[in-house]
Amino acid sequence: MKRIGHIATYPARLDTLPDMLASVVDQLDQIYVVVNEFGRQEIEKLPKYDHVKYIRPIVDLKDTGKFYPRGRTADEFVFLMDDDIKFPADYAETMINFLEELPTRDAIVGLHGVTYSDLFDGVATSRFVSKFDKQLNESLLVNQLGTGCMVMLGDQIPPFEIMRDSQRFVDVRFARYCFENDIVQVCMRRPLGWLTDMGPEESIFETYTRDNHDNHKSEIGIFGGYGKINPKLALAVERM
Amino acid sequence: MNKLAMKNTAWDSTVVANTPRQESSDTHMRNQVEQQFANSRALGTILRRHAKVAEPIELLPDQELASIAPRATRVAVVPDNDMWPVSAARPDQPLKPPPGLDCYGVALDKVEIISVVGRRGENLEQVLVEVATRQKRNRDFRPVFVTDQADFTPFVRRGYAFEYLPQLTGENRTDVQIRMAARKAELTAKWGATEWIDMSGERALTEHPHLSAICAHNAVMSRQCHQDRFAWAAETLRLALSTERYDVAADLAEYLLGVFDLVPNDSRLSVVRSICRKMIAFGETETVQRFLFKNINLVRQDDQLYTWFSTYCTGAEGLEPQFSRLPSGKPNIFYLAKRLRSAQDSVLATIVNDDKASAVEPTMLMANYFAATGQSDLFKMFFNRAFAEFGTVLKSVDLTAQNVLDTMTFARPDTAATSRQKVSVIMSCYNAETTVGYAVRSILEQNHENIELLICDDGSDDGSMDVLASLPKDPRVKLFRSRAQQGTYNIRNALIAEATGQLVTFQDSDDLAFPDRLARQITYLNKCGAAAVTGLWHRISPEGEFVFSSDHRALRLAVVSLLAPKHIFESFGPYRSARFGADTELYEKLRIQLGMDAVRVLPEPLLLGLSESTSLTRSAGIEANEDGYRGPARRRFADAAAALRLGGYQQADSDTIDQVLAADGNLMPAAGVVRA
Repeated sequence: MKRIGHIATYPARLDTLPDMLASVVDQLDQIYVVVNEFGRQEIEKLPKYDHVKYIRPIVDLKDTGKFYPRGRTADEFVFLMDDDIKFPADYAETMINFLEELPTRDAIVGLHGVTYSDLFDGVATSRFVSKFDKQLNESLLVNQLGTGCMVMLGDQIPPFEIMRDSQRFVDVRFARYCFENDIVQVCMRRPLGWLTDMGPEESIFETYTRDNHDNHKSEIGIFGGYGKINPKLALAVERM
Repeated sequence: MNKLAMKNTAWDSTVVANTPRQESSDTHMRNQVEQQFANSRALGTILRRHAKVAEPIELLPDQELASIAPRATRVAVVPDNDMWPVSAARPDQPLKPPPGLDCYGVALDKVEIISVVGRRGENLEQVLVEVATRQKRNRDFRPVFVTDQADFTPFVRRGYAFEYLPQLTGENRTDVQIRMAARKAELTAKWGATEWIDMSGERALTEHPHLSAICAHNAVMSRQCHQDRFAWAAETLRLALSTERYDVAADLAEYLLGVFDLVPNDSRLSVVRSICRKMIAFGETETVQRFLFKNINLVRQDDQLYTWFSTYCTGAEGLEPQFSRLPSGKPNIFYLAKRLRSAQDSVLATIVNDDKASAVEPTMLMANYFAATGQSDLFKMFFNRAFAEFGTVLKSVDLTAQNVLDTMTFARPDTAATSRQKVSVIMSCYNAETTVGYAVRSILEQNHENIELLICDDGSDDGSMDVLASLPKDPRVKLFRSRAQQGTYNIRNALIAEATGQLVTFQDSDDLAFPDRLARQITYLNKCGAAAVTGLWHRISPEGEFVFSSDHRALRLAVVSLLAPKHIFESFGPYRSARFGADTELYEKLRIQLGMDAVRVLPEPLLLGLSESTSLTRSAGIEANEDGYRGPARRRFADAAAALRLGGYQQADSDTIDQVLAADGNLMPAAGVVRA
């Protein structure tokens, strides 16, 4: 099965995008990069690879660019990736192997896991985060995976129409889609520093501002909490 | 072929060529997306200014990069008036400096710190409009906002300075208040502010004990889950049940049960406790039995589990002495109270003589024992011992009566209320011929005499009306009848309108008020300057036995005793037209909207409530039992009411409650009342 990568970027990430692409380009068969707000000068700076295609939307799609419509097919693995993460050489292989070992086909594997409080009050601390570059000893079922490092079967990627208006909370909308379509999200175990965060240090205020938007609070209410996690699969996954 | 068509062809052939089956839907999807983009304002602007740019999405394989035509990098225009509140008049000249630093170009020294803690969304916008309008009018200050909300956009957009002050949490409220005061002083000094203006919204929301407990729990989620997520989830389940979020509790208990084998030993006790609580609340008796047996080692060391085990796993009748004490050595009152007739004197003597039994509950348990054995003098002695602290003295009682409440007489206390305010006591009556007599008498014999009693019969088909008609004539009594049966809360709404007292309160037709109930409440209300006050009560059986809850306590909040000025009910009411639970809903609403300081609980027993099999709280589907069981309709109502509380009392949530009640047949249409 083909391995396809989806990335969305913008000019400020020209610092990290080349390293990011270099880390995965040999692991994937095709990579689509949506280049938001790129002008000619910036486009000329993009690294050129035979199987990397750049798509420039006329309006800024932000992170929803990862979900631009290009068809959904089960015979490929789709990797959603952030432009400021450096991936290890065994990334694609390891992720696919883990995905295939799972006791259900309806699963997405990622590395940045979030589980919300069952009594979510909209405050940013009301969640348990397993950050992608930190160590995780046991794989976990979570409410939400970061769309910056995940793999799924091609027919499980949400249609663009579902994601279109979630520019500020792509991960939340994606998690809701998974919940409503009975797709479990598994945060895979890994050693410390398996992935490298090349992005700027994010202040807590920025995180709050990004993650605590009223618009998506109600969506978190739909899928958030341990009570929304399938316990049988949780047990099976944690024992893997 | 035009440029757009060429691009689409290229896309089709290069990107989706390997998925021919989906081509049709993909094309459809792409067309939809393009249409949306074409409709967008941003694209409209672009198209008008740069007519050559017609393709909404462009595929740029690397070999085509060189052929891209230059285009404008940014054409979106953010209208300047976004800087201003919509309803505030704009100055004639455009504002150059942001209003947070200057006002109309005049540098300002005077700083006002404006706390908008708890405000968000429209609620916050409203304050910002007010401040901007005041700035425009006064031109003499610059504001610094203090917020606990993480979205700073409203301030940034207007150029206002702001400080982030997250809600402080902690078990010790005084400590939290001191820390908060220190933070305020720090911020005031930092900005050299001349004033701290409190425009906090939903302040009471965070002070509400349930909600602040959730807030404190969530604040430590990440840290605690990294250590032990099961313990954290168990505590969440306990909180969900105590805040009546039964929908959350059901899901969470299922999860914890499903992953129970993963729970580390250190957390098992809290997990088992919480799961049992949920099972009991949902009436899953057999499941809780099995679960307790499975965890028998934990049962042996924990008072709560032991109480449940002795209740559900040992048979309903007969007292087994080993269960009369809890693992901690305290008496197992909840267990004993249900088996008094099987208890030996020796068991009770041990309890009452125990050093640890200095609390009032064992004394009441002894009163129960003598009620069960028909020993009036000893019952009276222990009753009075239990109430001595509050000055309530039982003078006489007949334990052979069908309902002992009907025979109880109390010494009239000397102390009267410090105020002569008139109180309207509202009572509804439905098939209460055996109880309404003493309920009315206990009000008319209050030592606070400036009262009126408004009683409405709700279509009784027993002799209730005859009992009411036969009561001694008292000009303070006004008798009404419902036009059609409508339930207690519709009657309350109708009679509040008829009330002539400055203060309004309630009593059910099977409650017995202590003679100084009203005096104590009025005094307390005036003393603490509260807007409303409730008291406590005991539920008592017709035989005279106090009802204990599974926490071994008998004293409970009496929401029915809510006493407040009439305008409070007019402003925050009416009661929902529900068959049950509307009094708790209004009480919580008052606590949230007025604040905890404004709605006080007088921590004293004020009345006795009859507990018998025909009580509303025993009705099928809406039960509220002392072991924690809640009937399905009551749970559904509680879930909907919680959504209303947490959502800030939106009409849509209120409508949902009505729908939930209607679906269960518990919505009662108002019918009005007439004088009888």
